[in-house]
Amino acid sequence: MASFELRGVGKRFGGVRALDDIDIRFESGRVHALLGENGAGKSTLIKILTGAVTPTNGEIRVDDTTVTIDSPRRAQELGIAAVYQEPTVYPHMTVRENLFMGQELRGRSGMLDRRAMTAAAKPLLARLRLDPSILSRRMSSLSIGYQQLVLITQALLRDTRLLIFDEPTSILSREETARLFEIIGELREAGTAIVYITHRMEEIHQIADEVTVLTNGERRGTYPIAEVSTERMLSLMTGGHGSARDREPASETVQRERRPMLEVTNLSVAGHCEDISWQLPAGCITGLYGLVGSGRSEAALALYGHIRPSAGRIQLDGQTIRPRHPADAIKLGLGYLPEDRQFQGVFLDKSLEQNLTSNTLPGFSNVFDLLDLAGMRRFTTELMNHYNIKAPGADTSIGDLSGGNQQKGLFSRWANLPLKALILDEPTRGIDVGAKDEIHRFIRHLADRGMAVGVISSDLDEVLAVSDRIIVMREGRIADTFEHGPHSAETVLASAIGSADDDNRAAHHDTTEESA
Amino acid sequence: MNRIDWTGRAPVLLVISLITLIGVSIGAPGIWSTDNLFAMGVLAVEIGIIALGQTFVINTGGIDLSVGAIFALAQVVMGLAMVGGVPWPLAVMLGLGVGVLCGLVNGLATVWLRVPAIIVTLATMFAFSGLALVITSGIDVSGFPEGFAVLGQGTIGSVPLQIVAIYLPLLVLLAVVQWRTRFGRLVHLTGTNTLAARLTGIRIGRVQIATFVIAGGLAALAGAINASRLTTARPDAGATDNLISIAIVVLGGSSIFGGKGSVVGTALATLVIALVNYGLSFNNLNAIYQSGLIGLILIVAVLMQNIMLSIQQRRAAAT
Repeated sequence: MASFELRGVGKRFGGVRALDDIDIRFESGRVHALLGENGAGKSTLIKILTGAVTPTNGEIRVDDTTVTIDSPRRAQELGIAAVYQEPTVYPHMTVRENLFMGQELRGRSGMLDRRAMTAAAKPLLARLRLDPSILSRRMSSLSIGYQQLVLITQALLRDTRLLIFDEPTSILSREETARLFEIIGELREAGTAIVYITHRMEEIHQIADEVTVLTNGERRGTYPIAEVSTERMLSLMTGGHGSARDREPASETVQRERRPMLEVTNLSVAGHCEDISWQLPAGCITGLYGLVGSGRSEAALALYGHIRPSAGRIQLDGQTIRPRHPADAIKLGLGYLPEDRQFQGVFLDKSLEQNLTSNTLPGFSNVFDLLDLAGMRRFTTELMNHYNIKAPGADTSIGDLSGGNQQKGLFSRWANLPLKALILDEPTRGIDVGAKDEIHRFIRHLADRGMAVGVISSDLDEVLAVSDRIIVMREGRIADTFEHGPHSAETVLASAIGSADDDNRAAHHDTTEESA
Repeated sequence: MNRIDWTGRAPVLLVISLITLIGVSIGAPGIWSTDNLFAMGVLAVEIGIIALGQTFVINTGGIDLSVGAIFALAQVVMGLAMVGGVPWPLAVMLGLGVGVLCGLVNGLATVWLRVPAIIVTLATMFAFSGLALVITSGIDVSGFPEGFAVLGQGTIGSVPLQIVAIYLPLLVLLAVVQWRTRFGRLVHLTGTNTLAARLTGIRIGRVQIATFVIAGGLAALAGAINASRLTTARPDAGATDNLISIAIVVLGGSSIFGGKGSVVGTALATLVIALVNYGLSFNNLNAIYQSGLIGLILIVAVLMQNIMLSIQQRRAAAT
């Protein structure tokens, strides 16, 4: 029985206490969930275990002997490995090369021994139900879900005894998540100690044996999973502030005025979605739900002028529009908050001010193109107050903020434009419960102002919580439209995976291995 | 908000300038006459102007390998025009127009054909310098009207005209453009994250084209000053400027990936390079050492910055 234990471990960064005298014990054959908002100390804890940072005080014990973990290499020797939210891989290299990176097997002549590597990897691949042919494929040709599985294989190859999962499901589809859970279950049976970090409440009861709640670097408590309810965990995490489910229904006057604001007819984007028709009514939040790869984002990007649709008609407020650049779309009154915050959304090294004003610059410049810097500063401060963006100041680089605050910043950029319709793509992915709640409220305000809002999300809870009506997409087509809620999670999910469908297209999901 | 974005390179540059200053002073105390300083400034102005244009291109995440070729093409076009009887101010305008046009070609090819800037400008570098050779049959052009000499040989008081009347005002203007205008913001946003910029509604193509046009125009301006100073327009001028201008911009703290950098940093780096070059020739050191030394400085500067950065990070991480 392996055990990994932290005793009174703390970590300070400058004057900031990231972790405060934590006692925690991970044991083989158990799944230990770590729960906490962003900034609660979860990532510091992982970094300590994986040797990325050394603790300021305290003791780490592995199998009841004190150890120091001063480098990632040392962590590896102790059998500790982590699988992160976004897999860190070498995309241009094959799966085999990724698996054996840094510990290649060599033959007598010093040449790489591919046959030996294949032989070593095969049983592990079988355990994860991966086909051996995957070894020769490039990492970049695999979906993120499969990349994650490769990293798990790598951890197994290195005799990992403590495997840490850092929000592994936040970018996975339902099927991929289900498979991951099965695998985690099997690893547990085989005696691996597992640390599982997540924001998603419902996952914890599915998978964990015990749960530790962290807030502000302190341990709030460790509970056997059977003895703690979702409500209890939520209140521990948030320190007892409101629940995530309250929402005000759209006011009645708005309900009556629902005229179609954005209307899409027979829209197709080659290779992504086909013959899509839907509409977003003014003053109403429409949830666009579908599994990853269902063509939701591509449809939105085509409306927004970023990619060319291969067919179809787009009408905004009764006018047919054909934007050829996002700038055209914005001018017409159509906005899009992109899915991937880091790569499509924020300007990471740039200040909050530069980020928040990036799409309103024309409003701040005179005929000589000179900017009204004082006005921009005021504007930024107003947005920060209004949208509760917590930062030391407008000059703070947005990359230094928590995911939730970055996302609120990104959201505020769009919420302040005079738009007729706004599509939000995964508006709360990977952010903490508090910020998620806030953003959901802001979205409601936009709809109350009369904007037609579309919320694309693969988080079913979010779609159910925030939408007035729900459109379900499946494999690039519209599967169902649910008007006038409330809707049950079961019916919406059933529609998305096609289990309620006669022609049973759900079988195709087994082939989602190819990345889109 | 308006902090100069030197990103740690400024102190490094100052240290290097200081070392160079001390080295030069010891090796050749006689260098510190105003005449010498002005002579050094005159040499620095031409590459300095080219580097200013290059800064904008690099800050959007692009690169322009053809600035030296534009420098040559523009000067022979004006030279030929003047020899052909065109009044010199008009000929200069024509040359600047050629520079702008060359920049436009670079920009349009990069944006419309979606070919990486490094490939486009590598091709146009050969095309532009080839064109300069063809229209002159490879022969230097000279015999300019007297008035033209003012650009490269004129003085205000005793100070060379191109330093006070061209370079410094240009530097101030471009610094204002960079920090106070919408265009300046767009350059840095585009360079930081091209995809995010496009999805934010920034017409990144126009921004990129504009930076190439600026680089082309400024290279032509430098070409005019060069031809005026030497009273000759050479089709093979500026062959090394293509790369030296990039070295200066990077030395000046701009990130080669875009999004970071300032024209003031570039100006400082120009000064360092000028000091080294002039100091070496003043000490009668063979010119063959010069380019080696520029490379050395570039590496040392980047290394020093990295070391300082890691010290900072360690300090932030410790306790």
